[in-house]
Amino acid sequence: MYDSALQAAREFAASASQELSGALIVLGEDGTVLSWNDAAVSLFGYGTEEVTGRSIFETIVPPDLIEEKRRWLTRALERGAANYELMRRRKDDVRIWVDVAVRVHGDRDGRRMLVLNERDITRIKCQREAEQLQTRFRGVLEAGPDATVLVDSTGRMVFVNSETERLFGYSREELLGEFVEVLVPTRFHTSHPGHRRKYFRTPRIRPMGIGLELSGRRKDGSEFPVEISLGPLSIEDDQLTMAAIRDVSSRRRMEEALKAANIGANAELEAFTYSVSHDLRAPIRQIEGFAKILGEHLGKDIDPEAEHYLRRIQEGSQQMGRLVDDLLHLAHLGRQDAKPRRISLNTVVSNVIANMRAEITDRAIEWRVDQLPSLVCDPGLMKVVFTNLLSNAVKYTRPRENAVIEVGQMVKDGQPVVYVRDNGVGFDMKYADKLFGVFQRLHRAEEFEGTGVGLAIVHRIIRKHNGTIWAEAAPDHGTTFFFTLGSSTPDAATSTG
Amino acid sequence: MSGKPVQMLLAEDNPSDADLILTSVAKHGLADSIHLVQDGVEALDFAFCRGEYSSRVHEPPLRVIVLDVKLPKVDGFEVLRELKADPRTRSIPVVMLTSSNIERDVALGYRLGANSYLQKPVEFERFRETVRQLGLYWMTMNEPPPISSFSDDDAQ
Repeated sequence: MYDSALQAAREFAASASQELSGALIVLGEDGTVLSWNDAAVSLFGYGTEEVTGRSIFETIVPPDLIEEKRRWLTRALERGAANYELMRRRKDDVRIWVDVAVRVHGDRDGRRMLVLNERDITRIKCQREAEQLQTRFRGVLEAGPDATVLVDSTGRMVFVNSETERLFGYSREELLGEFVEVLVPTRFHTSHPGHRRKYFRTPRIRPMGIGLELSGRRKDGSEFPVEISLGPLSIEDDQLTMAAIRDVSSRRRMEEALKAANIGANAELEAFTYSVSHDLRAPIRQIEGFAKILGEHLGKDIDPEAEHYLRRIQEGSQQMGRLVDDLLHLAHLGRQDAKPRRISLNTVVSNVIANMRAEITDRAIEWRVDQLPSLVCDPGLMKVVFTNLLSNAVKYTRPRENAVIEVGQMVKDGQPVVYVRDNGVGFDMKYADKLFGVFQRLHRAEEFEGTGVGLAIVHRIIRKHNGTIWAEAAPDHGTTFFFTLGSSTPDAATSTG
Repeated sequence: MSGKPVQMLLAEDNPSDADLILTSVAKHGLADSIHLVQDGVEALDFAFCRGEYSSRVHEPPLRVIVLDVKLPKVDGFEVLRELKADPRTRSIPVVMLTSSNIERDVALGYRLGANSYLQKPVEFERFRETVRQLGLYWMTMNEPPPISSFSDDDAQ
């Protein structure tokens, strides 16, 4: 049965070839290729053997257009004869536009065949489209500061403005009808068409290659850094993509200069803290040391007033030593980059508490630790955060017979919030704005010792994680510190590009 | 110089720190066996028995050399380098005693052949204890290198 259909197709093709030029394809009703002439071979790159008996939906119909083309086949069968402009896919995956003349024939057994005569009109269509688009969009796109390119669904440029010519060194005539890859560095030529087609399937306005450093390629082969934003643009018979390309060479240069300046400033700060650690520590030690030695020298005969002054000297110098150490710590944090990874906060908290328990032997403290979230953060820095918050809680619950310190989590505005709560002495909320300042203290040193640097360090670490920290308290009714880590939801920040 | 032979060469340019160090070991009777120099050039002259120290040639070898990093004229690392490069001084233990514990400095000290690296604690009590132990260990407990190890023969 099939043989007779084939026979008929061949006979028809042979006779038709005499009068027609172009690719001649004969299809069964379901789109199976029955005949495929030499012109079709050279147009689409598929050999006759390769396609005969296979459906055109597996070969020259672009995969993203299959549904549409099935409807087209049904329509053609109904109408008997028609002319269309269609997009085809070559064997090398390049898209082309063809003009198709279809005629439906019945064979002796009443089966129907479609005879397709296809001509490559890519260049003509692009030119035609380009001419129309040029008149239509020139007004709006010509004067823009960016190089603007319109790309049709085959990936060919159908509009470019003068900025494109200037930026890439091509003339308009050289670019129109060419694949947009002409403007892309050669090393991306294999991957770019894939990205392009992916974009065509879900077009929306967005920057291209988020997080990547993109480059454009000039006619002379040189490259330059660019930023590109993409947007879909529908016209009568096609879906275009508009790409606005901006040369960011000068901005990149400025950023680099800024970065270099920043590194310089950091090096200066490092030199400063280095010399502070050397040159400030020695005199502190000397003041404390000689006061001590003097006390020992005077021995038991020392008069109580002199002893009091000597103790004051020692206390002052010890406090200064702690301040210098804490300041160094703070300065060190300033230039340290957070190295975030996903960790369980419970692990960090239980380590910190275990260390504290070993040191606190003279007090009864009830520790309550909830299930905490796993967040993306720097484990070392988070240890510093919890050490500071928990040792604060320990310190300010000292007057309590039954101290309770709680670490838990809640959700606020869809974000995990971690809190550290104590039932200690609390503070007046009207001083809350001073809480995180360097050297700011809300309690007298006689009541509670401290340098006023701990919470400044915590604040800096939380900020480094793009998070926020705040406190709620009332005098004599405990304190709760809350914090979020902004970088804990990195999944929302990444995007396909 | 006192009658006792010098056992420790201490290179420390800060007179107050030097004073604290000497006071810290005085109780153990070690202060008299320590010779203080205040810059790197003097430290090298003493170690190599040069210049005003040329008469030291006949003295017993040092048991330990303690170096601050930040010394005037020639810094502590350079002194260390020269000491460890010369067969006459290579075997003498060298202790770096300094304010800096930054990794780069510690690593450099060991690479140049330091036998120990100690950071001066800021807090005086800890400082005193550190120095006391340093003195006791190197000047009384540690077995010093035998005389034979100071000959030129084993130069590599």
